[in-house]
Amino acid sequence: MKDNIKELNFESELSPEESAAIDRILSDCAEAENSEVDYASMLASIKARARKERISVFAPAKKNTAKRVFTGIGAAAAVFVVGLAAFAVIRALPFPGASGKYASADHAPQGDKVVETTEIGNVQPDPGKTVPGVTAEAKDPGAAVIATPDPEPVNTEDAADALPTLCPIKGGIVGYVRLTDFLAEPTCSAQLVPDMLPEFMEFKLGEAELFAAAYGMEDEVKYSYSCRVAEAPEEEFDIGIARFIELESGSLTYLWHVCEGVYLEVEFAGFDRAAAEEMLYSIVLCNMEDIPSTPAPSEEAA
Amino acid sequence: MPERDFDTIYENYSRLVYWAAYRVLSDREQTEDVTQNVFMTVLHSMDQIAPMSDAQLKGWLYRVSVNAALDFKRRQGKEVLSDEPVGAEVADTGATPEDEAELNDTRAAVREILNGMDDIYREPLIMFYFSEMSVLEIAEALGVSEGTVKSRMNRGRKIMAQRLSAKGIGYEG
Repeated sequence: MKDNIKELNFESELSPEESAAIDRILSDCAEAENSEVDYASMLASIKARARKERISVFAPAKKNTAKRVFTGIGAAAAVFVVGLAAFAVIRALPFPGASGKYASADHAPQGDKVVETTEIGNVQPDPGKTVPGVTAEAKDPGAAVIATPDPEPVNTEDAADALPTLCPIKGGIVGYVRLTDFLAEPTCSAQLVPDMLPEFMEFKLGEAELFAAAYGMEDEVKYSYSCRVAEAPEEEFDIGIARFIELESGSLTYLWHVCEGVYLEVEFAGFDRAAAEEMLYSIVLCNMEDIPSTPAPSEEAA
Repeated sequence: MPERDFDTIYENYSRLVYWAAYRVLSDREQTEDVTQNVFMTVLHSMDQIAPMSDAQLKGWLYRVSVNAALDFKRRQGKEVLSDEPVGAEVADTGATPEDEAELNDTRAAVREILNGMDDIYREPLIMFYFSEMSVLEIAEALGVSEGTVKSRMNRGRKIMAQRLSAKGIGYEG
C-alpha cells in the first residue's frame, strides 16, 4: 500500500482512480466510525425515556380520533351493553367450546381465523381466590366476555392466582388477560425477569405485523423488552396466551396495560364497533381445560 | 404514504440523525444526547411524520438534528468544536496489527481533516458517507442544486487527498 503512495497535483482534478481511492477511504472510515456508535444502546435509552413520559413507540394507528367509538361516559354504557351481548352470543354459539373460547381451530365458527397458542408460564389459578370486579360468572372458564362495569384494581397477591376474565370497561372494550409469562425471543436485547411485574405492555397489529413491547422496573433499573412478529403466516398471530382474529378492516391498535399481578388490561380502540366486537370475541384468555388439577371456579361455586 | 413504526424510523435514520448532529458538535457523547433528543422529538411528532415521504422525512430529520445540535451547543456554551481523542476504541477487524495501525492512522487523519475542513465541503461529505444520504437528498436538505453538492463533494475529496498526503498517509490511486 505504501508503495502506491502518490503525490497529487492539487491544481488539477483528481483522477478517477484517485477519486475512487479517496471515496474508499471515506467509506471505510464512515463504516468504522458507525460501527463504534452504539445505536442499540441509544435506542434502549430512547425507549426508556419514552416509557417514562408515557409515549407510545408505535406509529399512530389508522384511525380517525373522531371515530373512536368507545370513549367517555356514553361509551362506557355502550361497552357494557356490548359486553352483555357478546357474552350472550358466545354462550349461544353452537359449536364445541362455544362457552367463551375456541378449544381449537376446529371449533371455531367458519370464517374465523383462530390462532392456536401455547400456554406459557407456570402460574396456576387458584379457584379460592377472587378478583375484585369479577362476577362469579366471569370466573366461569366458559365465559370469555363478561360485562363488568367498573372493576376495582386487582390485588397483586390475589391476581397472581386468580382466574382471567374479560371485562369491558373504560374508553373502549377493555379486558383482562392472564399473563403467565413474558414473550421472549432470542433476538431481544433485554428480557424481563420472570418474576418482575411489567407495568405496561402494548401491542400493535399492522397489516402483516404484530409488535409487542413490555417494560418493567426492578430496583430502580428499567428493563425493556420488545419483539416483532413479522411476516406472520397468513392472517394468524400467536402472542402467548391470547388469540386473535385478524380483521379485514385494517390495522388495529391494542393497548395492554398490566393492571396488577398477572393481569393485563386490554383496551381495543381505533376501530369500528363491529371490529371491536369481533376482536373481543376472538380473545381466549386462558384455556382452562389445559390447566390440570384445577377445578373450574364455576363448578366449585356450584 | 409509507407506514412507519418508530423502530423502523430509528433503524433507517439513526445514522443520519447522529452524523447530522455530530457535524455540529464533533463530540460523541454530546452527539448521543442530541440523537436521543431528536428521536424523542420524533416520538412526539409521529402524527406529523406519518404523511411524509421518505425524502421529506429525511430532510425533516436532518433539519431537526442540526437545529437540536445547535441548540445543545448554545446551551453548553461551546464556541469551539472539540477534537475528541481518536482511536480510543477500535473494533477487532481481524486485520494484522500493522494493518490496524495504518487503518487507525487513516481514520484519525480523516476525522481530523474533516473537522478542520470548511463546512461547505465537510457537510456534504459527512452527509454522503456517514449519514448515507444520496446527492439528491443532500441537495434537498441543504437547499442547493445537485450540481452544487457534487462540486462541493469533489472539492472536499481533493482537500482530503491533499491533507492526507501532507500527513504522509497514502492511498492507492
